[in-house]
Amino acid sequence: MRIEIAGWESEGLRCPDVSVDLRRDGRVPPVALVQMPNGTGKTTTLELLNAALSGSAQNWRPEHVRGYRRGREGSVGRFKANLLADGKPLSIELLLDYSTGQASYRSTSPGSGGVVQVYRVPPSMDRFFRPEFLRLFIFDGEFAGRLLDGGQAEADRVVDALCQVYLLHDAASFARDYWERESRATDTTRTEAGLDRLRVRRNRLSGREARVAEELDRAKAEIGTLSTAMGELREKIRKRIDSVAETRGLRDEAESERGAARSDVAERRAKLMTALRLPHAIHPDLADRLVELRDNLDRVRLPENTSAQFFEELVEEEDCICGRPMDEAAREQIRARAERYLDADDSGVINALKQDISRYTEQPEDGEEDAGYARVVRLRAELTEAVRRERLADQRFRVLMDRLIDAGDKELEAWQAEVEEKEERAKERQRLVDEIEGLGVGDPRAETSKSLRVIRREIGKLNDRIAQIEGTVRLRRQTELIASLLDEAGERARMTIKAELLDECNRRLSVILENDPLTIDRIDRSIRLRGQRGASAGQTLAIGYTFLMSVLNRGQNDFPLVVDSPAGPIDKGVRRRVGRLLPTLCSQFLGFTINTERDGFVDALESRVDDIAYLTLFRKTSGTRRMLEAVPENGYTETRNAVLVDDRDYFFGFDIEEEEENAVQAS
Amino acid sequence: MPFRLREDAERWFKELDGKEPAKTKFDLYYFCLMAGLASGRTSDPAAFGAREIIDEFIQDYQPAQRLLIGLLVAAEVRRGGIDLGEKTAVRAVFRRLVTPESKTQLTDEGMRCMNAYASGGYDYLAECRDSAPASPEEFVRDFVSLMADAVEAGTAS
Repeated sequence: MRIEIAGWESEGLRCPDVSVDLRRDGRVPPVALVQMPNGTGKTTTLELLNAALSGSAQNWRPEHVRGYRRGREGSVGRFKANLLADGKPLSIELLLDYSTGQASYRSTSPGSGGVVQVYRVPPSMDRFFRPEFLRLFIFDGEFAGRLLDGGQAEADRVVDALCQVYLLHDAASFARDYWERESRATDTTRTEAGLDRLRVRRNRLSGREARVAEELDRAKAEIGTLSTAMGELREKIRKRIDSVAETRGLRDEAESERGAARSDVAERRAKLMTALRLPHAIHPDLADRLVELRDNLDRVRLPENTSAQFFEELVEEEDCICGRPMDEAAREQIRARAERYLDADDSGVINALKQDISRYTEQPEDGEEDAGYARVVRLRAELTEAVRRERLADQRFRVLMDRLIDAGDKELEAWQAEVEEKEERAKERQRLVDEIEGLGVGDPRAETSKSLRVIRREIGKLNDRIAQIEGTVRLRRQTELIASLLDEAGERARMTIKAELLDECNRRLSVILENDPLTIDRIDRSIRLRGQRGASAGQTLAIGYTFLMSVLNRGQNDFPLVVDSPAGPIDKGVRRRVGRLLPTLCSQFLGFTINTERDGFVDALESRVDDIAYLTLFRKTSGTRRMLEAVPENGYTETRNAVLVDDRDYFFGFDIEEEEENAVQAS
Repeated sequence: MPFRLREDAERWFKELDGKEPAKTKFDLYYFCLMAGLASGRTSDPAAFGAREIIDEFIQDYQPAQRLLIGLLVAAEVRRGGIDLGEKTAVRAVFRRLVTPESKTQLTDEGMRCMNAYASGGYDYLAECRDSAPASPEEFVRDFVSLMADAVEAGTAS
């Protein structure tokens, strides 16, 4: 990405009202120098440029906002930065409301075609417009000092920012944050220990499930065995009774009687069941409920009378309800349109329901002596009697057996005892089966319940939880691995870059400071010099440029370098060498200078670059009257409080006397 | 939407299931439903595991179809604290529960309600008896008594 500063506009601010357009024939020149006498607002302009690009003014306090007001003039301040992002215009306008102390923004993004009333830069540029990044290419002398300050880590931060090593750190942080978010969303038991506890419990319950299931199989198998054994024993008993002449005939008689009784029970049972299938017959109150419903439906006239019957009756009338005579055409229309007005939903069902209630609750069924509940009561009594007779028949059979046992048939007695014993055992086994197959009501704890349903439900829950946590723990391992790889990659990249930067910086420094040689020993948080602890102001600035330009020159992106007083504290020789190097190290150099910096520095820049914009900006005061008179006829812009001259000769000829400068600063 | 019989109810009725005279699953469902409608008890069958049995009234119950719908409407009217004389409210209950469009003449909501009464009815039966039915003849006779108690419980609630 290539970012260029195309110009800026300021109005109602501490710095002069001005509109600066750096472009020449639509192109931004590689070097632009803006000469401004001290007190004209260089620092303010750079602060506002930084605030416009970073969006940081949104957090300014009211007193900070009001601090940009020029005296008591105006109620609003406006600073607009005009940029080119890969050649496309992007404007960010900072608006300061002095009455409310609020700062707001207005942005125009490339391709968006419109203005939004907020700070907004395209996502691809967002990371370059953060304050920590902007201070690298909106450069000041203080920053150069921090690069050499052993107590700070500015040099490391520059490497991270411009070589984008921070992206590896950001990716690692994202991985760790992702795990945090996921684990918070899933379960609080995130540790291996927590997972182990759940697994132990799940395995214990799985073992219990297997044991209970085996118990169920065994119980069912035993019930089957018992049933077979009881059947065989009963058959033996029957044969024994038949084998004795005294009981043989009686057994036939008893069995016949028992058969008849059983048939009778079946018949009465079926009749009762048939009667019970009509719900109103089960209890008089149920019939009453139905009758009450029907009567109330009639009373409130439900279903409504928008029925087919209404229209059928209407077409038979001589006059329509509207009063007109009913002719054949009207009848035909009514029949055709009636469908639209029929309540075609549940009216039919309601009418049928009312009819059924009347039919079933009021008359006995065909050929029956009684109906409804009375019939149920009668049939139930008949069934009870039939069951009693069946029991009597069963008892007669038992009496025959007892008679033989009483006569000394020990074997028969043993068989019968065995049948009874097996019956008890079968009942006990059946209770166990019921318990295992039941809902587990009363003992919902899976660890103690016999209910397979309870145990399996708990195992299911544990499996779900384990799967969730396993996913989280696995995710933690994976994200930690990614994060540590990224950290390691970042560290290695930083070391490699630093080593390369060290060589590059020292090579350039040997040129820039050829008369005052100085060598960087290492880049370890800050820039560490070999053999000396500090550096002069000129050396510091030279090192700052060298380091920053070396780093800027490495990346894939082109940024402008904006510098306040680029040659201020450095001697003429260093200025010359810096001036020669600067244009080769960045795509756009924008320097805010004073007249005393021209010597050596500007000559050197000109020796390397043909296309340089020379701008001179000064306030309109009594002290600058002489400069105003000297402006060329063309190539200057005058605003309410300032003059901007776009002319090389004027730039070089611009000279301000001490008393004039004092007048400017006092204005 | 089909009729649903709770799995535990099916097990509870295992001595009747498939045996004369309650030879169909719908008979078992009917016992539960009537207990629910009489007592006013409802519960969510899905909470206990319920199996779909059929999506229409079987032949044995076709004469009872609309009477059962009537009892369902009456139960819902009572449950909603609606006076049977409130035409609009009663009409709304019919609209919610009844439709001529389905084989059962019940809306989905009507069927959900009916299944809820059947589920609640099973709860009632299982609570009232010490043990599961031992034989069909024993249960059908007892059912009449159980229903008398259910009606009384429904009236009292």
